[in-house]
Amino acid sequence: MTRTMNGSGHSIRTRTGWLAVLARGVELLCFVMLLATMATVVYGFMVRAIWADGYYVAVALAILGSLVMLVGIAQQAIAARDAATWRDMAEWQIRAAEARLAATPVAPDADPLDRDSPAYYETLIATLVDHASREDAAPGTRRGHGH
Amino acid sequence: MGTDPHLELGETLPRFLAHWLAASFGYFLMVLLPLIASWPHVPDASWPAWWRLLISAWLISLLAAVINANLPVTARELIKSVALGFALNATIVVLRAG
Repeated sequence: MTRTMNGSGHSIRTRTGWLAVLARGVELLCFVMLLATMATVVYGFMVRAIWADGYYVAVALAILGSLVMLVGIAQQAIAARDAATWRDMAEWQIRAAEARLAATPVAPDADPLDRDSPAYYETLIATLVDHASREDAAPGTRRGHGH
Repeated sequence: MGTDPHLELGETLPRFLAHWLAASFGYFLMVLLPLIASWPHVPDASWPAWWRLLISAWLISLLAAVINANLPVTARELIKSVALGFALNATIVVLRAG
């Protein structure tokens, strides 16, 4: 089975372009639906409180639950943004290592490494470690990143 | 796959609680929508005490929360919990009516 590559701009992140816009749109739509659900439940409990006279605790709990969920979503969004910064840095390092790997001359009779093979990742990790140790030892002796 | 560490699957207590709440809201939606639809011409029906409704919602939503506890806390995933809570309540209603 052959695997298609995205060329030099290959990224770990798969969502790009209009797909990312679509995902954001769906996320926004779901958020609006969730808000509508919360509002409907609180309104429904209020109606029932007026009619049945005794559902006020349920109204309070529904409002509290809505707030807890909103805070949870906000917290998750902030944490995801922090993680995205770290991920970008790590991806940059990995891409640099991949470029170095691609620039490394291979024996003429040897097959180029398949991206799905364990050997590829073994070599990639070795390149990353090599990169890191070189940066520690002598920053001036680094090789070019190729293309 | 693996676009974001926070989107990876894995059960955590905050996720469980968030989806529990969301499923409870779905459950309440199923209970309250007929009332909202018929308001102000409310049919003469007897409703359970508020605490009985809350306890039954929390118990039924436990199942939904256990199933969805590995989903991240985003609006997109919470909507699925709401739908599951709604569906579980609808199942109970249908079974009782039948």
